[in-house]
Amino acid sequence: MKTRIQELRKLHRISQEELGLAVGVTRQTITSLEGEKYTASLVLAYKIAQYFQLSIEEVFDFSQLEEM
Amino acid sequence: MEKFKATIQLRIKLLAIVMGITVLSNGILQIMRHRLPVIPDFIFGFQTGVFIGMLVFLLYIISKYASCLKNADALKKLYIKEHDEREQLIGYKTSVFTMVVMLIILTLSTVIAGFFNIIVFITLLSVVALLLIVMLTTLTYYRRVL
Repeated sequence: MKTRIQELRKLHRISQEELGLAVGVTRQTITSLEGEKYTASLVLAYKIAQYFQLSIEEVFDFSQLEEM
Repeated sequence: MEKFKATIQLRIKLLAIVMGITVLSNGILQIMRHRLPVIPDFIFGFQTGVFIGMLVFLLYIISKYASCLKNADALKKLYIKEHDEREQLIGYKTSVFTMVVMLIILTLSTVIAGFFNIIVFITLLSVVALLLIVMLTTLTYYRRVL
């Protein structure tokens, strides 16, 4: 899933490690999210969005989700 | 984090008990060795290796936990590492894949062993049956609780 995590992280000048510590995941998980290899759970998506003081939709791109 | 700290303290105590039991049981086995059937050097070497390996591993884990208890940052990192959702997903996928591969290999080995040795066949068949029972019990449990 496409996200704006990397862009927002650079804007706030924080490292992957710092963001990971703030939201309770490892640096590798942030790397995977930024690389679109891993899709965050609802709880993690909420925590990341809260951290940047944005809504989940503003951080995560749901437009390419497959329809059932 | 206090709850996790208590969990780590409990783990240290349990690991120390396991270590004590390991040392004690190995000591008893060494004392009783002359009463037990004579075993080849290879098996004795293997048993000693497992014993030493277990002790080294337990000591490493205990010292890692103990150092985390002294450092709040290290404790938080350990908590994150253990609760990281991607790590949990990796663990889950690895377990499922390993279980399926093990079942296939063991089932094929059971069939092949049936042509050569009845004891090996029954042993492997028991292992496959036990694995399936554990798998189905776990599956039923998680279908009820999740």
